[in-house]
Amino acid sequence: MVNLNDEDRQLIERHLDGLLTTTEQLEFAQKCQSDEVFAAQVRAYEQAVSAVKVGNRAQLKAQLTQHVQKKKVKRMKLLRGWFVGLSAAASLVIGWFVFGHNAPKTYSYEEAFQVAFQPAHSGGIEKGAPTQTSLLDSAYQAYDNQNWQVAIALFDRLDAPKPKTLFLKANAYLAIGQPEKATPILNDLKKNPQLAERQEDIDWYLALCALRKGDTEGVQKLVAMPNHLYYARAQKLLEQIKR
Amino acid sequence: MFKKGRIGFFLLYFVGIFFKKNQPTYYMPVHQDDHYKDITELYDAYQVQFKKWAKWHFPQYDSLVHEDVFHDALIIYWENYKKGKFQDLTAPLINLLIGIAYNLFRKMGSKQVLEFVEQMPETERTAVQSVLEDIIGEETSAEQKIWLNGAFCQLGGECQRLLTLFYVEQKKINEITEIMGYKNNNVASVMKSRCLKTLKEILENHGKPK
Repeated sequence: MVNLNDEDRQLIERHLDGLLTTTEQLEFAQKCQSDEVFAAQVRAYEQAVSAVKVGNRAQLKAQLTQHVQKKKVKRMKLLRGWFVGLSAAASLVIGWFVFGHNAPKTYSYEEAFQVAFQPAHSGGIEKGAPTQTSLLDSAYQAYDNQNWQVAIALFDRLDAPKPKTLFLKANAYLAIGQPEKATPILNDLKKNPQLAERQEDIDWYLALCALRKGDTEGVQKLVAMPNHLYYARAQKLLEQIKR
Repeated sequence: MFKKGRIGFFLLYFVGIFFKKNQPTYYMPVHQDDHYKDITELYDAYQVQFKKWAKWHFPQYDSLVHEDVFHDALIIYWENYKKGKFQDLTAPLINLLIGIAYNLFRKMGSKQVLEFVEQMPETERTAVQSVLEDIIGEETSAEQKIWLNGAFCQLGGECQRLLTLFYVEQKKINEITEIMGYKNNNVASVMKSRCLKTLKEILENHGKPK
């Protein structure tokens, strides 16, 4: 390593900074030609200045590269977030279709009753006693229109209600959620030979009355009778409640 | 009533508008605000426009090359901007970046001649010409760059900053005194000499690559 004197060093720096006068420039060029050591030092200083420029450029380049990398990472994180979110949403939808949508539902007693209960069909107008005909017509009409309260009120006004009328009245009570009023009617009808062909229906509605009150015994009884008309429905109902 | 020909004409017209909208043009609408805090802000502001332009006019290069050229164009612009070269320029900044990048692509061997860059307005052409020395005059090899950068990195942070201010940003000694917080100009001058000498010695100690 060569140690320059201060005068030469200042001369080189003034040359690098472009501060030499025309005369000084000529002298500087002559010195470079005649003094190899001095010329080598001039080149070394010029390289130092180049190093500043190259180094600064490299720093700017590194700054940009780092910035781009950060942006990429940020974008990847965002994409990953979206991907995870969408995957979760897709899984939920698929899961719902596979398991939720087709999964058998579990019912409470009340829900099971609501699902199972279908009011018996009135089967059209049944002619009663001549004085009562219009009243009975209105009662059936109200029943068919599912106007339960009115139907019950009209059924009550009949002087001698027929078993079928009573059966419909019990259904109307069940429909408005009063199984305690429907049960004695149905129990009476069960003993009535005129309704022998509807015994299985009466069993079913009695079982539903009990179910509405939170008692599955009636349904269980039906399940114990494989030949019963309502066997399959009772069995399905019981399974839904058990789950 | 519309005839078939007229409907066809309108369809073509709208298709034309669509393509024109998607074709990057030289004179893109840009905001004139070039007071960016640092080079990364500049990058964020123009990267979309630039990449669109590069992809359209230089499809033979892949996106990594486009990115690299954009970095170099930004650095060349930034260095010159710091020197105060473009202070009074009213041309859109994207035009300068594109002008610089166009020359970088040509330096890489691209034969494309883009009329709108060749025939750009005088102010922009002069501005780009003024920085062409940085692009064309640079003869340093990759090994030499690594050597020079390695030496520069060994300098202390203060020396790096001071020398960058003086030799890259071409600040005057009194400005450097103010920026660096030195007592007076003499201190700044002495510090500059000392830092340059240290850098020269680091280079001498490491030995020049062939």
